[in-house]
This record gives sequence, structure tokens and C-alpha cells, in this order.
Amino acid sequence: MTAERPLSLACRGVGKIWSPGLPSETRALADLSLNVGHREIVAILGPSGCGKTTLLRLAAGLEQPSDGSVLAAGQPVAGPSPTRTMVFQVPCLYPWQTVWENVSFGLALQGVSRQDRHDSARGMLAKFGLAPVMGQLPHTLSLGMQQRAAIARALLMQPALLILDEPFAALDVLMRQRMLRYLLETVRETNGAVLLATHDIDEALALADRILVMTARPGRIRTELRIDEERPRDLNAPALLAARRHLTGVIGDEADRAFLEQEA
Amino acid sequence: MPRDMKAPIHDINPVASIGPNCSNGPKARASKARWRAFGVRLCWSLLSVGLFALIWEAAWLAGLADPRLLPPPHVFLADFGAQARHFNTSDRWLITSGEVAARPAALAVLSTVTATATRVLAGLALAAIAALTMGLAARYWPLFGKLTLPTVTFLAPVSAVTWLPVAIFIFGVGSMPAIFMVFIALFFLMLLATVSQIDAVEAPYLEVARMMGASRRQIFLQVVLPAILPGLFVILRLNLFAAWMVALFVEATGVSRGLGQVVMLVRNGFNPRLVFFTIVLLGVIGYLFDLGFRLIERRALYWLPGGGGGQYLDR
Ligand SMILES: Nc1ncnc2c1ncn2[C@@H]1O[C@H](COP(=O)(O)OP(=O)(O)OP(=O)(O)O)[C@@H](O)[C@H]1O
Ligand SMILES: [Mg+2]
Repeated sequence: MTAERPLSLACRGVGKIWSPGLPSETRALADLSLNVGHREIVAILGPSGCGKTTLLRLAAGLEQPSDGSVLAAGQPVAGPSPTRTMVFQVPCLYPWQTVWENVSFGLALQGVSRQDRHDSARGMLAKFGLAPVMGQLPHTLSLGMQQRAAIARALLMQPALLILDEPFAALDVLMRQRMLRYLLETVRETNGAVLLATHDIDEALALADRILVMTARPGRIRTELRIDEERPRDLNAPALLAARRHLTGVIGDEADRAFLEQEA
Repeated sequence: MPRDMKAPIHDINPVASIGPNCSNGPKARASKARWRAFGVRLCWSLLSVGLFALIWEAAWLAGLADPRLLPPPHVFLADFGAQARHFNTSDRWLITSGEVAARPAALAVLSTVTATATRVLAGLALAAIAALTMGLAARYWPLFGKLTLPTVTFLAPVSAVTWLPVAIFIFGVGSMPAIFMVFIALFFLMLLATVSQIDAVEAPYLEVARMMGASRRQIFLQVVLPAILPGLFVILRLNLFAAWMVALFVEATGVSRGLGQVVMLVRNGFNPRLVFFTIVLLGVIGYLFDLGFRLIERRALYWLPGGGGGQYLDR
């Protein structure tokens, strides 16, 4: 994190209430503050339903906070923008476009020529092992392949902040490691920051500069852990084993609380 | 979908199982397979109809079906020349000269059918285009939607038949009132359907577009439009039948000449051969319309899993 650069993302006392005033009113986030620095990779861990997706949607500008403020590069987030692209938990490709057309959709909107779009999409898709299927329609791809294409689409915009909502859930372990590696490479090339929500402690340990653990609903940040190891990381290094033990304890605690709350 | 087909790059390959290294023309093979599937389906159709005709003929042979009341297919089809006389209506309207009587029977049938089918198609096409355009406009400019949609909702349930006098006031006689009536029968319903389809477009589709920096206009043309097309095709196909009924109704009233007049003859006269001849004719036309529709749909919705055209329900 360089001090002169504005923060890629800053949440200040953010609260989010879903369906306010209705019987189904839900306090998803309360008084949550966090920073994502320039080029920083931040992972968010937390039990299911704690508000991770809600937080990411606020960061992407797809929702507005009920309280507090969300700033990107020093400016309040008023709406979605290609500088903050989000990959959803479930891949969302347009079924009427081929894989490469999907991936280069953002360029098409900017009026980039078809040949140039095709070339950039091919470059990005090749990194994710999808070059052979780039001319196919999305429904002919497996879920994991579709999710990789969705990540490629988000990266092609060279966002200042890449927002990932459990993007690797549909991938097997080996594929997941590869994707993480390519993701890191590409993000480094484009000088982007990453905000990643995940259930998977190892994923967070392998990728993140900083790991934030959220509390059960209403979510706020409970613990923050800085990981300074060089990448690629050996997850069995003593420091990381200790970190994993610590995180497992905290998350288990929050998961129990979330569960008890649901029962009450 | 601004798809420039001439661009010299990667083709779409709608067939799942075929990899990139497949050498001998996956496209050609796919189209061959599709033609075979079409041939098989046609065979089943013919077999089905043939079986039905066979039972009828058998009943006639066994003396169970009185040929004066229930003439079997070979009887009423053999009487083609005599029955085709009744189809001269649209010929008279089209040509209005003495040579009508000299026209071959097949031509009389064909020109009558064409006259009606053209009206149906024109009405359908106009209604579909107008409903799509206006539906998109109603959601693109909310003020326009608020001003128009309540009236449309109010008019949609009114039976199209009620509009006949209006059609005559405005267009007099000829093809126009029939086209207008087909249009009216479909337009309001299709407009409401378009709007509800737009409202049902999945939120993530729109969110992805917004994140990629799409303008409102781009969202409507490049995301909403392709997303609602499959639903609109279904509605169009379901309303094909209604469009035919309305066209036949208008013609039966004598406002425009065509197949509807033959149907009226069928209804008013007692001519079993003409009745069954007309039923067969309407059946064939309906089949051809449906077929044409599927072909268009398959072209427009090439991207649907299964190739579009309601294949799933067919098999
Ligand atoms: N659009 C919405 N409308 C109403 N309530 C919502 C909406 N989205 C989320 N919620 C509620 O907000 C809370 C947090 O949901 P969120 O999806 O952010 O959790 P999550 O941490 O992403 O969970 P998971 O790990 O299972 O994806 C939940 O109680 C959920 O019911
Ligand atoms: Mg979630």
C-alpha cells in the first residue's frame, strides 16, 4: 500500500438494511469499515449469510448503503463502473453470445472493432485455458468453465478494483490453484486491487495481503490478519499454519453464533 | 445483436460435442443431422395422418361410414375439381374478369389461400414489430409507458371481433380491414407480453451490462432485446391460430374475399365433400405455417440450448 495513492476502496461505517419497513427487514451489515489499498489483495472470510455478497455489491455500486459511505479512489460510489468489475457467485454469461463475445462485451460497448475484440478475448481466454472453446456458446461449457470466462470478462476491463464473490467454488482444487496464479499475474500486470469473498481459508491464505473475518449477521469486521509471506506461498509454512489455526477458530466461533441466531 | 457475419474470424459453433480440432466440417454435419431429424419428423406426421385416413377408409369399406355424410379421403380429394369451384371467390376479387371460369381449379385454390395467408402474415408481422418497438419504448421512456400502457391494458381484453366496424369505417373493403383486424387481435396482447418479458429479464444480465459500462440504450438493444426474443416467439406462435381465426372471420363477413368465404359456404351449405376438403386444406396450411415459424425461430434463436423451435416438446 503506497500512502500517496488513494485507497482503491474505503468503507466508512457502512450499514445495509434489506427491505426496510417490511416484515422481512434484514440488517445485513452494521457499522462496517474497511480499506483496500492500491494494488492490495484483500480476502473476506465469514460464515454463510453474514453479508459478504451484500458488501461486495455495495463496493461494485450495484447497491447503495443505508448508512455510512463507500468510496472508490476517493470518490463516493454512485453506481457500477468498468473500473470496478464484479464476478458473481453464479456465472452470468449471455446465452446469445459466444464465449469470446461475452468476454469482450465491455470492449464492444466501447466500439472496439470485432477483430481487436477477438484478439484481446483470445489472449485473456488462453490464460484461463478456454481458448479452444472461445467460439462456443456458454451453455456448452461446464459451470467451472463458465465461471472462468466470467473472471476473464471482468479482468479484460483492467479494473482498478476486481471484486470476486466466491469465484472458485465450482472449480476443483488443482484448477483453483492455477486460476489463482493466473489471477495474481494478471492483476499484477494491470496494477489492480482485489476484493475477494470466500469460504475457503486456504484460498484466502494463498492469495491475500490481508484477510478480514466478518462477524455473523449483521456483518462487521471482527478480525484482521496481515499475511506478509512471498507468493507463491507454501501453505504448510509455520506462519501460515498458525494463521490458519487462528482463522479457523474465529470463523468457527462466528458460524456457531450465526447458527444459534437462526435457531433462536 | 450486432453480429457481423462477414468478419473473417471464429464462427459460432452451436454444437456442444464438437471440439475445435474437428476437421471435416462440423457445421455441415450439424445441418445434415438437422435435415435428417426433420425428415424423420415428417415421416411420423405423414404416418400419423395416413393411419387416421386408413381407419376412415376402412370404416367406409365396412359400411360403417355413410359416404354422403362422411365421405372418405379418396372421395372428397378425388372431387377436387368440383370443390375448387367454390374457391373462385378471391379470383373474382383479384381479377374481376370473364376469364375466371377458365382458370384451373388448383390456381383458384392457391390464389384464395394466398390472399388469406398474406393478410395473416402482414397482420402478424405488423403487430409483432409494433408491439416490440412500443414495448421497448414504454420501458425506455417511463413517461411514454405511463401514458400508454393503462389504455392498452384496458383495450387488450376487448374481443377483436368488436373492432370490425371500426376496420370498415377506416379501411372500407378489401385486404386492409382484414390485416387491421389481425393486427388488433394480436397487438395489445403482444405489447403487454413484451412489457412483462422486459420486466422479467434477469437482474444479473442488466447488472453485468452496467458494470461493463453500457449506456441505457446499449442495455436495451444489446441485452434486453435478445433476452426477451424467445418469449416473444412463443407468444407469436401461440397467437398464430387467433390470427387465422380473425382473418377468416373478416372474410366470412364479406369485407374481403378469401378462404373465409369458403368457410362460410361450408358452414351454411350442406356439402360434406367441401367440408372435409376445407378441413384438410386448413390443416395443411396450419402445418406449413408452423413449420415456417420454426425455421425462422431456429435462425433467430440459434443460441437457445437445443437449437430453439420448441424441440424439447416435440420428441
Ligand atoms: N436482495 C436481497 N433482499 C433481501 N435480503 C437480502 C438480499 N440479499 C441478501 N439479503 C439478506 O442479507 C443477508 C446477507 O446475505 P449475503 O448474500 O450478503 O450473505 P453471504 O455472506 O454472501 O452468504 P453466502 O456465503 O451464503 O453467499 C442474508 O440474511 C440475506 O437473506
Ligand atoms: Mg454470497
